[in-house]
Amino acid sequence: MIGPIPLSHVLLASGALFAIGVAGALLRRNAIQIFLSIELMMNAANLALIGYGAALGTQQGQIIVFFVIAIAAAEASVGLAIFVAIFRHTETIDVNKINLLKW
Amino acid sequence: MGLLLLGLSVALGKTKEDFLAFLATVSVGITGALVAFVATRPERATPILGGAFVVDNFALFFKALVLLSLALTVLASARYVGAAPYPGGEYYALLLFSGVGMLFMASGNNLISIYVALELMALSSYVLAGYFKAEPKSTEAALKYFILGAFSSGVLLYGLSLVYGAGGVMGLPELAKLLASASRSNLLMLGILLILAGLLFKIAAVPFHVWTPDVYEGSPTPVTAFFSVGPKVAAYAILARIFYVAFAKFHADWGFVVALVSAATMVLGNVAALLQSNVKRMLAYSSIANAGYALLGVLGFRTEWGLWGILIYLLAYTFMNFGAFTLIILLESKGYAGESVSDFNGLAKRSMPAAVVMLLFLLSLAGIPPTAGFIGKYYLFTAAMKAGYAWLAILAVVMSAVSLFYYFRIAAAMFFTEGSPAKLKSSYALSAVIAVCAVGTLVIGVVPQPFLEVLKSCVLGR
Amino acid sequence: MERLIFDAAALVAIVFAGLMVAGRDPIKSVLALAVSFFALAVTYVLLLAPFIAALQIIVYAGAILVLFLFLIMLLNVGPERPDGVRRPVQTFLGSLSVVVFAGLLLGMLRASGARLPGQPEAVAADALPDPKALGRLLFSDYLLHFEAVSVLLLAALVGAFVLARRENAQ
Repeated sequence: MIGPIPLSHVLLASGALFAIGVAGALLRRNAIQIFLSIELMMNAANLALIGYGAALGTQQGQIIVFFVIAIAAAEASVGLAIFVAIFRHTETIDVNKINLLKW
Repeated sequence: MGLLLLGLSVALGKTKEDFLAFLATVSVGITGALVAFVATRPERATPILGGAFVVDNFALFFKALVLLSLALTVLASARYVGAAPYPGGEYYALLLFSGVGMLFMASGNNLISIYVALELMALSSYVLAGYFKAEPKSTEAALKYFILGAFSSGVLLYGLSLVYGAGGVMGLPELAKLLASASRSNLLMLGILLILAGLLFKIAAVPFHVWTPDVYEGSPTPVTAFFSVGPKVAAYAILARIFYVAFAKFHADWGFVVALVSAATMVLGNVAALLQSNVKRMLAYSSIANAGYALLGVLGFRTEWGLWGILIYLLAYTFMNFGAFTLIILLESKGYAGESVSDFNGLAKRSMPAAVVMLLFLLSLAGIPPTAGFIGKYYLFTAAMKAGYAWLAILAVVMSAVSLFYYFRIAAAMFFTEGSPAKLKSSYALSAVIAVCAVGTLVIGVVPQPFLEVLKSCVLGR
Repeated sequence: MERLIFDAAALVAIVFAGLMVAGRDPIKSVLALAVSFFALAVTYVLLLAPFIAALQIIVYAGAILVLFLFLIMLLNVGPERPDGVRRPVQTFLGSLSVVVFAGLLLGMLRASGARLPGQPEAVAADALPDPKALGRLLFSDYLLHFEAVSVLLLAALVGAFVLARRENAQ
């Protein structure tokens, strides 16, 4: 219990977000939307971490989320750079040869 | 310490090409010296920074292995990257960055430092995979590696958060003590499974191996060689540390899952390799199969053979696998050829030493007695046998026999078929790397005792 | 009272996350995700993490999603036209694994009730902790991680630069 909020509510919300994230990552075909769902999964983990941290009364949970957000930002920059490199190819050569969005 | 210097030297990595290769090797050398210096200090065993960073024998062994694979990669790619129309500076910088990540992974003792280090290594390797921008195969390899890698670290992160919730603390040793008393809650099991899933992706075990062949084939060959050795070994360091130290108590639960994964990895890795014509893809599948063998050690961790087996096998694996890839780089020196088996034929006539050395690597990969591969596999199989997974050990032996078949397809191509008589020109660095790998494979194979004693001390004290 | 706000915010986050996944047009899904991140920031404040909530809004919703929008505009990715190639196997497998996963996850969270072994039962949520304590902890116990993340950001910088740079005439 964190004040009036029971911990199970927090975990339920984060579990639901995580499930949606996994669904998005597995079912979508557009590389950008897959990446968005992965960001959502990481946010679900953040929510769970903060919930646990608050329930334990320590600030360790927040420290971890602080690092996770920094890592997600770095990951986003590298990922989008890869997308740029890929899109530069698909504009020049035939798309269905390397079939960018499906593998 | 060592890794900070590695990072610093990277900042200078923007200047002229071949000087860079020299600079990168120098920085790896200096880091190696620093790590050795730290190793001799008596008070190094105490974990610092609140248990987040520990330099015990286990970590030192993996740091040495990581530095070895880094040095080999830098040497192997000296000419390769120089020839390509891409700036060499960033290549070596990224290589060293992932080196920093791996050094950090080897001694991470709590969940956050492991995750941060894993991401550092992964990010630089995504870019390395896509380094040859003009080649569509390389960028596609980077895309696939990136998306599956990001997905698996998302899963790993969620597993970490669940385990943190159950244990209430991030440090591995404290977690072990806490979990020993805690009851078997479902959440904890799910957390462990998710962490296992994330890590299995990194070592390309079966359910998560999909990315390996495409990425190995797509990315530039020295990068592929690096992928098959560096990150995989570091991932094993984490897998061993987490599952030996923190989750020892629940061995029964994750043991069964790992056994299944190991069996499936061995079978699929070997069988798929049989059907490959592209040598890089064949070696990719063979490295998947090798991941399956190494998982035997994780299973056998109850006996002290288990961890010991993994350490030896990884040492042997580094030498033989890297050697085989360097041969491909040698063949590829005339451009992007050297990928299909037919490029190997007639190699014996073109340059006998190259053919003999390749034969040695193939023997070792298949696990034939005089080579290091045999020693590694022997200890792994006994570990599995001792831990009661006899059926798995037998399956492993059968699969090694199957692997003989596709390794010798290459050997046959080298010795018995006619090939183009083009003379092979090998650069100084390349032959040095091949020599190191060959010597490593042979020496460990012929006289394993000294290595075994050293590695025995590296086993994680519990 | 906070419980109500928390549940509402969590619900908003989940609904918009669903919208994001189901959305055809990437721009709409990015915006839906932004709303979901804002709702998450609200939940963070309720969970005694104001600093992280601010960080979430600035970095996540602010920087990363804007980067996404920028990229979508730059590469003018059109709405995803279903290209008619229904790959029955992959979609079936994907949805099956997702349904199993979601059920497993929610079942477990519901069942375990998330009791923590020997932890304080109820934490008094009176004063919001100030970020100073967070900073002190960050630079004492987690200094090495802080440095590692800085190296990571440098690596990402170099990587992004290498991949996205326009081909300079060599």
